[in-house]
Amino acid sequence: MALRPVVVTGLGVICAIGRDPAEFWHRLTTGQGGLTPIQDPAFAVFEARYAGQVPDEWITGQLPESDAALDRTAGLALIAARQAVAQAGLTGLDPERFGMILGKCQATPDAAGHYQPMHRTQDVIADRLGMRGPRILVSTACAAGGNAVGLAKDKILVGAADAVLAGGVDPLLFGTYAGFAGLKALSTGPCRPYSHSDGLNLGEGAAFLLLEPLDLALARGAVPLAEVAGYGLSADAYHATAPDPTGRGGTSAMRRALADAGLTPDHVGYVSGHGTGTPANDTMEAKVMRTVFGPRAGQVPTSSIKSFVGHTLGAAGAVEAVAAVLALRDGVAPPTIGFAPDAVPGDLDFVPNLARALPMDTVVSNNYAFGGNNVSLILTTPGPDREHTELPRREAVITGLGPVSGLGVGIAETTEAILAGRPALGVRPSLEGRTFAPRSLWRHMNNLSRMAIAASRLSWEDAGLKLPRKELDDVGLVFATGAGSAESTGGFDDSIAANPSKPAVLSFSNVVLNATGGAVCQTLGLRGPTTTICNGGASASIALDCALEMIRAGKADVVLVVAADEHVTAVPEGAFVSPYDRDSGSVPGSAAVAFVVEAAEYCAARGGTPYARVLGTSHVGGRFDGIAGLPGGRPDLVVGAGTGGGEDAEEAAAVLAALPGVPLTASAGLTGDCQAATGGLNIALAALAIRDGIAPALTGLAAPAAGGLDDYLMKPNPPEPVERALVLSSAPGSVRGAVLLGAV
Amino acid sequence: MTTVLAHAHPGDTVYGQVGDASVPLRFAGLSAEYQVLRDRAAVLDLSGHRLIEISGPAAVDFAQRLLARDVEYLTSERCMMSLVLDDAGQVVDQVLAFGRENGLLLESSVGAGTRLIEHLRANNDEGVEITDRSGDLTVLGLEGPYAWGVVGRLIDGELASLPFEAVSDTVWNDVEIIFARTGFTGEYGYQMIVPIESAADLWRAALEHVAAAGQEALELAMLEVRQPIPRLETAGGVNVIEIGANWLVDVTKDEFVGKEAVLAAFESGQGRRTVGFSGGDTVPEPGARVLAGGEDVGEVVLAVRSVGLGATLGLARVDAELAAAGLEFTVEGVDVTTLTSPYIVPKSWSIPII
Repeated sequence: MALRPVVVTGLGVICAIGRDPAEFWHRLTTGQGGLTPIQDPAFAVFEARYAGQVPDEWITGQLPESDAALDRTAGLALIAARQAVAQAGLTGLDPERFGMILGKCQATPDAAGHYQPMHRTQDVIADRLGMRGPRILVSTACAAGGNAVGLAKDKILVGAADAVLAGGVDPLLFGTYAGFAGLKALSTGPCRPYSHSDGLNLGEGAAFLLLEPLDLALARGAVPLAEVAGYGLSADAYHATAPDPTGRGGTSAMRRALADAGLTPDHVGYVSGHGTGTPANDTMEAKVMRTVFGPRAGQVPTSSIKSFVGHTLGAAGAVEAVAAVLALRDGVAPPTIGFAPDAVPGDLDFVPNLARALPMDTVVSNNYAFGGNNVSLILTTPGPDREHTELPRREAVITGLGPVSGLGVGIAETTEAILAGRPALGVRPSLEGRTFAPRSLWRHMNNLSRMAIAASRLSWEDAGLKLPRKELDDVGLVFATGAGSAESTGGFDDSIAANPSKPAVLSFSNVVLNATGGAVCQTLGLRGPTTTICNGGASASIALDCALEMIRAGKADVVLVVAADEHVTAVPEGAFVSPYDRDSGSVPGSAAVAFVVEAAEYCAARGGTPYARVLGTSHVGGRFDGIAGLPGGRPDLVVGAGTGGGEDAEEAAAVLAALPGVPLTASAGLTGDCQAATGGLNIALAALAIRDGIAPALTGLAAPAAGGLDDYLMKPNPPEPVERALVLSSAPGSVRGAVLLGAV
Repeated sequence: MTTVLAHAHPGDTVYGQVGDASVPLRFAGLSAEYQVLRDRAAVLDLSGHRLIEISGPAAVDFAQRLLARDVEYLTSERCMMSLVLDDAGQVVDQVLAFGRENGLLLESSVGAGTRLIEHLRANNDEGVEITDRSGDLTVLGLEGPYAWGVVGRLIDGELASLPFEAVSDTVWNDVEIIFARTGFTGEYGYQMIVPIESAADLWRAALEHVAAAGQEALELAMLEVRQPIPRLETAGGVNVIEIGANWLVDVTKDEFVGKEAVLAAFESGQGRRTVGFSGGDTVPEPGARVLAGGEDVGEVVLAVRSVGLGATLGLARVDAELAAAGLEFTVEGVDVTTLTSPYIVPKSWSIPII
């Protein structure tokens, strides 16, 4: 029996060719592009000047006075989100059943021009729309928008939400423009994908699709616009910025998506291409079309709406998914405009210049990104309500740990440091004299990638995995990071400040948040489903959630979860850090932590030795309100999200109230607050506690913010065997999570 | 060792002994084969390259110690070229190392297999398995500005655009082969490691699309892009720096056989350096003296008649300060000029794979 159908019931979009879906679709089908020269004199330093810009009045005209102070990114996203919710007619939903997956490529500034956390835009939208369900910021660069739609479907299939807003947003930023100019990737005129591929134009915008189960949508009288029949992710494992020229990654994404949807290439009537207009992308994409569709490739029209709106980066996949839904609804393929009249007729049909009526029941929307992340979405004409089955459960285990922090490199050194009670607050891991990748790659890598690769390889070795090349093609990777590489971001920003015409292009290629995950895939040769999660300290537990969903859906048997963050500022000397101590402060840290997640039966079949089973996970959006909604079962140990500051007191009080007698501890007192990596370390150390009976202790705790010292783990050997451990994660003010691990 | 493709080659093929291998030097004549290789694509009989499998738990450690470049993380979809040195830093061979699931596969340079395998066995402290696979596998090459098109017609178009030194285990005609993007001549280059019993079939299938080129055309094209030809360049006790093969060693590795000698050579800065030259119509023999202003400054390493340049092309090993382009020397009474490499710009550099 088929799985529960998931449908789109609402659309929202704002970009260079429209302030709403109606205007957007009208211009797409009448060939009215929106690529215009940038008037801002700051951009005069670049030879290429065309972009897909959203007129300011389209934003201000759709935001009420109460939202006038929002930054541009939040404004764009809020407009599109409200449109989607309004079209869906969604009201009265339980806030905890209403989630949001947002794709975003860039770290965007707040209204004052300062960088803000990646997930901040999402929090603004969710809070205004009253959403407290799953909240994920996915940052797979230019594939993020499409990736978000796929993850939203997963959230519905696993029963975590009844409605999910999925979309993407990115504004046009000067620095990003300079980076692409430095890469010589910009066209000096309006881009002309597939015919005169001399470069891309950047764009800006936001788009959302409201997803819900078909049965619930019909029950409340909503009109399904399309079914999200399936999606596929893949990693090129090839290069930081260039697509794999063989098209291998794009091909496997599309094939995985079709398999997920239970369809074949023969079902596909139209392909919404990535079509940036760069020679590398367009050539690769043509190869993907020929490989997937074979002799029929020329009969499957494919077009690029980036010829209208430019490349909207993290929003692109969502903008194009909105177009694909409308194409399906009206039976019209939007054209590729600017198609060179003198282009040599090829073997593929790029729908040149004029929209075309086209009967279609299945549309594929493809996106390819820096970091080698690929996504394909399959959208189909909505069918009637039908019987369906729940996604079968599949037990998963954690089998390999790879912590790389100031405590040590690898689980053995880390364990030794924990047993010795030897903190390394804010200390950067030392990889001096050690390489974990071919030297030709290693010497060009930034510190975050080096840490992440070391952690990944160590966890892989710890798991005892020895997979042949063919199986590595299906190993998944979920990368978790709060802020990505501070080193590369800083280096790039400094170069732009010095001379925007000479950006540090190597740093630019590592500014995208998924770059480190891409480097791990490239180094370890992993080409399975891959994504990147950026929800601060909750990133790792959300990443684990995604890994479990990949395993549960049968898309992977083995998934590597890698969490990494770094700080580049000086750590104050003599700082007192002890989570849950009322006198404690917090210090930033640098670390990478990887752990291997496997389907339990797969691990058993290969004779692996798990650390722990994953019994359950849970995430709630919004401000802290206790640990309600967390997975059930009384644990023997709680590894909390405490960092020495923030919400430590509230968390401690909530844990002690809900789980009296269960010792509470945390790892940030040993390493400092390493954001996503601290979340990953807490999961890894909870697994260690279950199998080996060793856990991080709060040796410095003197004045607990809640309860007494007896309520906390003061020695690295828990008093009782740990059969179950609860791990808490937190991105304060945004999302909190919990992971329950159990003995095997 | 006679080429396993001898029965597939025309009867008038000219063979020659190169090291331990008898290889086809010419099929249709040097000039014609060269033009095919530089203008279109040519198929190469590389059966004189010995295939040696290194396997066992310590295979990577062993290879990492014996090869001068970093192969610690060489996966089964990558290959790389490396020197193999002895303790004195002398070149034993220049190999193409393929990562494999159970270790590595080393491809020797032409005719150097016996020396290589003896060296590997003599240094087998790790107790790895060293297996000469030349009894069941052999190597065919494709090189030329349109070799990628031949790959598409012959095997799979997707393989043509593999990145340089990428490897794919694939199937041709129901036979498992190892396919690699490589290249010796600066043109698009590919290698196919095939079971011997299928080699002739693949050779004939390739000949339906391209012509064959022999060892002479191949080595001329290699010289023109300064691709090292170890059998002609490493005689006389010269070190890595004198040969100009620094790029085939990695001194940042913790250790490898010959590393100390290489470091010593780097630090001393002594010895001569190799530079290309062109000029005149006569082809001097190796060892011919090179004069600068009448003073003996070095000797000819090798020289040939370059079809592409229409002149003599060679390598000279001269005093280090004179190893620069644009200098006038005299060789056997003929004026020659030193060159910067490549001496011929390969067409492939301006022809995209489509």
